Amino acid sequence: MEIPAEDLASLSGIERRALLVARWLNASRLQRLSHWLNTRIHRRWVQLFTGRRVHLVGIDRMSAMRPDRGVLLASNHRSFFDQIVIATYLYKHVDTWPRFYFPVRSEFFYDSLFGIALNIALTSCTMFPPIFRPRLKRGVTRAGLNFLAQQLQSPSTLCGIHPEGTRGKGPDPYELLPAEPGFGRVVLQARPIVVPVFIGGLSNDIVTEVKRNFSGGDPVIILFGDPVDLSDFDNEDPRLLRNQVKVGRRVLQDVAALAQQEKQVRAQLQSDAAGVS
Amino acid sequence: MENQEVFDKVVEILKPFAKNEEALGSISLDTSLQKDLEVNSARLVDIVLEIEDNFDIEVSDDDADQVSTVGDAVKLIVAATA
Repeated sequence: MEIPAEDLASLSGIERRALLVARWLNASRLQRLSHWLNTRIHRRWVQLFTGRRVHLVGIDRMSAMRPDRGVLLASNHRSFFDQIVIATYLYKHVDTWPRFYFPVRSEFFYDSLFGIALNIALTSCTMFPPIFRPRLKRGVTRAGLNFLAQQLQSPSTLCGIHPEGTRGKGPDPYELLPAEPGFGRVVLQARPIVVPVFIGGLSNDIVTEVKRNFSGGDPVIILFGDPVDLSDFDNEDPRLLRNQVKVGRRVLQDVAALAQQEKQVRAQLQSDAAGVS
Repeated sequence: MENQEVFDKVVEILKPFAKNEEALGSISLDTSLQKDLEVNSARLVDIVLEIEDNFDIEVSDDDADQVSTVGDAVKLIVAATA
């Protein structure tokens, strides 16, 4: 990931160091070790605390995939744990991709010692590259998006992005926010295979989640859809804001369709559970 | 198109997005969209799309990133329609 010196200078000392460490981990030979840790060790912790509740739909699509370019998972965003839980069950069932990236907002994971430690310890810095919100730091964000677009040219890369850019906090867990233009830019630049994903049933409280797992709480349902047909955008200019927005809307349509499917799956699971008891 | 004409049209576009009506009353080229008008950051994209539609121009994300004040928006439109 190439970052112009003037953009790097816009970051605070701790942000700069965290970014450089994460970049090094993702580029060095340690990347293989970090992949092994993620797929063999870290995922087991998450499985231990979610395994009884998780119900997967369409994971066979992912395991059957033989991509000729990078794959971008576009999922809704409601809980802090969405991405890590999706990744865990991909690691468990699919062994196609040696490189994973899950870009994350810089707050916490790139500007506090605790956040940096968690990123290293729990994901081996696959929560990379960071997305910086402040206008002054957008050069670094742009460098990160360009890096993702470049990596997604390779079939060895899987990248998970929330098109909405931020968590939905409204009362309706099925409501989606508008897509961020940066998402559309990565899609238009890299032309990856875009797989829509919907995850439902997670809260933002880790203690609640662990308790629910052992007390038979509501299921966590993850649906993987068919790749989104984006052929209409083949000749569109990735730099134009309008095109970026259109691509985001198109992908979120498919995520919204999965949200409706999730309701049916949830109702069926609840009905089955009621029948058993 | 004259700068004043562009400015007036931009103000009309901003009205539905501005949360601070007092700032809207004293709007000038230096008025900040987010700090003064309290436009939600997520709605900035919608404003740029409105500008594109109203002035029949295309805006890149790099150019959109430069828009922070009303004056920035006017400058962008004048340059694109020149």
